[in-house]
Amino acid sequence: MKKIGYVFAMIVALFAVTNNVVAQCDVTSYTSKCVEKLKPQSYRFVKSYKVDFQKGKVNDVEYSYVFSRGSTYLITLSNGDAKTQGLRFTLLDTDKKAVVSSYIDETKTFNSAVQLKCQRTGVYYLRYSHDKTSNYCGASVIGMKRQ
Amino acid sequence: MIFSIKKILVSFSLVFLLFSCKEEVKDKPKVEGNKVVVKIDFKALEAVPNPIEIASLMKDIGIAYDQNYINHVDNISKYDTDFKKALNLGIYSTDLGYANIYDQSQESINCITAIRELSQGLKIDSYFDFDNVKKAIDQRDNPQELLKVTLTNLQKINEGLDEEDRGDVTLFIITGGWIEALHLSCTAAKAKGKTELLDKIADQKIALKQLIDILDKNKDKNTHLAQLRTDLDEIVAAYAPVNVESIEKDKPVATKQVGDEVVVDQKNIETKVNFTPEDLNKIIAAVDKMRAKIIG
Repeated sequence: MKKIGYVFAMIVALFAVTNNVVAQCDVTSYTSKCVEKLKPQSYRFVKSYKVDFQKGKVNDVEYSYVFSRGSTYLITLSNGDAKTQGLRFTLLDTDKKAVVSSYIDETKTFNSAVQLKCQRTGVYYLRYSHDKTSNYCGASVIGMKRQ
Repeated sequence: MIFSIKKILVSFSLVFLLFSCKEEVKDKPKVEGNKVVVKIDFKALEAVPNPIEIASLMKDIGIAYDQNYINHVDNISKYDTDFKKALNLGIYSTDLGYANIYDQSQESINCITAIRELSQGLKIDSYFDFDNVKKAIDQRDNPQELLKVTLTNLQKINEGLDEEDRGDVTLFIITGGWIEALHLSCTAAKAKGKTELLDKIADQKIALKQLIDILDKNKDKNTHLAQLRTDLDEIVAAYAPVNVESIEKDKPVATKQVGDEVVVDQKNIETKVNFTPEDLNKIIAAVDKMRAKIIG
C-alpha cells in the first residue's frame, strides 16, 4: 500500500512538472521565421515580441511602440501554422482606433504580415489575438525601412 | 497506511510548492533587506522607440559613419556605480547598433566588450548570450543576424530586470540608449542638416514624453530616478517650443492585400512641423550637457 502511495505521488509530481514544461512558450523558432520574412524586402530588424496566449487562458496580448512618420514598418507573424492561421494581429493608433488588421473579414483570410507606411509619429498598440486555433504560442517581429 | 498518506500529502505539498513558486516571486514585498523593489510599467517602457531606427535612417540618407560620435570603450573604468553602469550600458548598446548598421566590425566588438563588462558589473550578464553574439559577428555576410541577436539579448536583459523587480535599472538603460540616439542624430544634423533627420529629432518629443511620464510616476522610488528626472529638465525645456501636428483628412486609409501581407498607407495624414534652427541648437546643447554628465 505504501508503494502504491509513493508511485501515485511520483506520477502526479512527474505529470505536474511535464505539464509545466509543455506550458512554456518557446518562441525562438517563430522569431527566426518572422526575421526571415524581413530579408526579401530589406527591412531592418527593430524589435521582437513573444505572443503567449498561455494555452488559451488569455485572449489578447498587447504591446505598444512608437512608430515614426517617414518610415515603413513590416510587422511579421508566426505561430507554428505555415499560414499563421488563427493568429490575428490588429494595429491600433494612439486613440486605440484600429488602423489595420492581418485578418481580412471579407475573404476570411489570415495574413502573416502587415506593412505600415507611417505618416504619423505616435504611440501605436500592437494587439494579438487567437481565433479558432490551438496554436497558443507565437512571435512577432517589427522591421523598418525608410520610405 | 497512515504513514503512506502522510508521504502522499508531503508529495502533494511539494508539487503545490513547485507551481506556486512563480506567484510568490510576483508578490515580493516592496523592500527586501537593503534592496528597494522597483516595479515599473514595463510595457510603457517598451514603447520607447528603438535607437536603431535613428542609426538606420542616418545610414539610409547617406550620412557617413564617424567613430568620434560614439563613447570610447576606455571610459568604462569611470563607471563605478550601478546608476552610471546602467546608463552607459544603454549608451554602448546604441553605439553597437550604430556601428553594426555601418558594418564596423571592430567598433561593434569594442561595444560588445563594454556591454559585457557593464552587464557583469550589474549582475545581468546571464541574460546576455555572448557566445551567440560572437557567432553572429563571424557571419559577416549576414549583418541582420548580429542586429537580431544583440537586440534580442538586450530585450532579455530588460525582461530579466523586470522579473527581478529592478525596473529602475531598465529605465536607466533605456534612457541612456535614447540619449545616445539623440546625440548621434543631433551631431549629424549639426554637421549635415538633412530634413529627414531634423524631422526625426522633432519627433523624439513623443519618446521624451513617454520617458518623462514613466519617470514622473517612479521618481520617488530612489534618488537616482529623481536625479535622472531632474537631469532631463533641460531637454524637456528645449523641446517645449517644438510642435508636430498631424491632421487627418477625410479620405479613408488606403489598405490593400499583397500576397499574404496587408499593406496600409496613411496617405490621409498630413503633418505640420514647427521646429526652428534655434530649437535644434537648444536641444543639441541640452543633450550634449546631459550626455557629458553620463559618460564623464
